[in-house]
Amino acid sequence: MQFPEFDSLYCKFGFHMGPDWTVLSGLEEGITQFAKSRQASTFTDSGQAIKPCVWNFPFSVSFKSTNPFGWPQLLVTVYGLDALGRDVVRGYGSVRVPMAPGSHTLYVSMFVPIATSPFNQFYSWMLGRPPEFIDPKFAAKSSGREITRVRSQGTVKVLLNIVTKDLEALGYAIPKSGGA
Amino acid sequence: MAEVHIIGSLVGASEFPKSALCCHWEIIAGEFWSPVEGELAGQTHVDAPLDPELTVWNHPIDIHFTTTSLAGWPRLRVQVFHQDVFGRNELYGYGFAHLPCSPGLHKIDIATWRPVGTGADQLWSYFLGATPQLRNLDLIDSPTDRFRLITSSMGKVHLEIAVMPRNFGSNGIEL
Repeated sequence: MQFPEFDSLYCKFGFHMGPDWTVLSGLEEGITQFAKSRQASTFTDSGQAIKPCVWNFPFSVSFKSTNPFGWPQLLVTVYGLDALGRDVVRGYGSVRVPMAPGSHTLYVSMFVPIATSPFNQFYSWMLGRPPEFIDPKFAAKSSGREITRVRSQGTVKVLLNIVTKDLEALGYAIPKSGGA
Repeated sequence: MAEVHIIGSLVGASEFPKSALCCHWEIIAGEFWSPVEGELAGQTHVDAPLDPELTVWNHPIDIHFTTTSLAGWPRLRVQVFHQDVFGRNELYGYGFAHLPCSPGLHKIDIATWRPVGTGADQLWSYFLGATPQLRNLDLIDSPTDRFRLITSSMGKVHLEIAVMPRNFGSNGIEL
């Protein structure tokens, strides 16, 4: 994963899915190790060094549903330490689990909420507590976003291998293999 | 009856003059289409990105339709707004895209435009920030008369949509 401004990061992840979905096997939540970034080998267009943090964290889970509505989304929250060693959130993000079987490399764009006023910004800087979402699943939801201001920064790379079962038998058309 | 699941996300926007943007989106379908689950309209957050090249919304879209006709296949209509430092929203673009018919994941870029109005309107909006807006939003995605409209071309909205149709094959329809 890559965050241009921060090193020393860890990540919590989970899945958010609709009412008809259940977890059949595997762990649908996890927390990675605390990784320090390595030396930059690439740079952004504006000349900022991109220092990747490596987690290489495995997970495996299978879901079951009677309805594709609410198809699972992978929720990722990245935390880091500030200058005084306190845990602060560095990014929220979500990505839809691909619907097509096969191997997929996804990049999750991350964002953090920003303070609503300059006073709040100063206050949260004093306390060392930047704004957070009350609902950790906010990034996977569609509602309540219109009053939110965020700053997007950084991406998390996820590699997923997807296998689906019995979709065609239930009348669903799935893309020909090779398509995304 | 055939069903369609439209599952994806409004990824973000790029190539707009400023990058602090939000988007109001709406799915519009014909009279034979009825939504079963999911939200048909919404508004994204305002993103002020660190990297001004790409505004990130990552706004999830998940809709389940049933239909008895192919006429009026769903369309997505977007309105992009720029939020300035004073919290004022200014219209930055209108656009629409037909949602794809074929199953699978589709990456779509919606090119947008906005009305500029007369010279006096432009002078007004230059100093006061208020740009002309359409009174009837149906103009965005209908082939009605646009001839008198003077518009300016704006940036792109990026969309990733997976379409999963059901029971179209058993009705003899090839997607």
